[in-house]
Amino acid sequence: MNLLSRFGGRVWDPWREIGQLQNEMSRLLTGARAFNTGGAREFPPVNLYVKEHEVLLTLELAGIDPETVEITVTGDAVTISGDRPAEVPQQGQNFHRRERFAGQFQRTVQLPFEVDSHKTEATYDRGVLCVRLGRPESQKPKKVVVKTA
Amino acid sequence: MNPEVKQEDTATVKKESTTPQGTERTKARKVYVPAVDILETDTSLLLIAEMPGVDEHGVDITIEKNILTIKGAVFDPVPEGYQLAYGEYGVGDYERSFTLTNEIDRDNVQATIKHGLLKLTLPKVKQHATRKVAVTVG
Repeated sequence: MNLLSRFGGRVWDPWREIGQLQNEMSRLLTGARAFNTGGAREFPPVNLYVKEHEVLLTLELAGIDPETVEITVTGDAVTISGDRPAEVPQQGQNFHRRERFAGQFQRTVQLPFEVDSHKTEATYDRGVLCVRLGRPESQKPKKVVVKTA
Repeated sequence: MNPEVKQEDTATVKKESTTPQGTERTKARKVYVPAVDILETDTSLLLIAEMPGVDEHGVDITIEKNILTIKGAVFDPVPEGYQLAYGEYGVGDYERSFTLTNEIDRDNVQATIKHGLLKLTLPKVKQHATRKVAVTVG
């Protein structure tokens, strides 16, 4: 996720970078695939879109009860957790195929800048969860006008 | 639960759908294979297909001879002006086909879609009682 640091808004911290590198390595070693190579193995898969001072997260999360999803924002990270109950076969039913994920899930996404939890908005439509996050005024970059003496 | 059917490890990785060799789709958009659960009972088959981004207007189900095809046209919720910064899944339509046995009653297939989850109920033809043919001496 160190890809995101180039969007700025954060002081460079070598220890954090090392930690991120470590996470990235362990992800690669455990078989999870990195950016844009067909998706990670974690559920639900996340896409992150950026537009100036806003971030939009979309998660493919079909067939859940939106009221059971928990979204927490802490500084520049957002955590989405919930539960998608397994399809329980009734008596006399048996599975031919079972490809869908079932069970509890939790995803934490590192954002390119700190966000204002009051500016967070989440919608659930057609099985896609959209979380829109805004940058607080205090975190927005400011232009400095150069005066001539 | 049937212990023999394990959940596949690749459950959350979208597979791209294929076309017959040497052919292409007219739409430039990518097409993915939806993940499914299929359950069988004595009287019917239940197919649950994962199609996030699809609603009742975008889904298309056809049965031709013994091939069941499910298709879904995706609605992309990302408004204009947003740039993808990190991506774990591709946005595209869905398509998958299955062969059906003669056991399935093609006229009474029912489908519902809610929150991007398509549920198809495929009832089985009621079993005819075995008929005995009486043989007489000719």
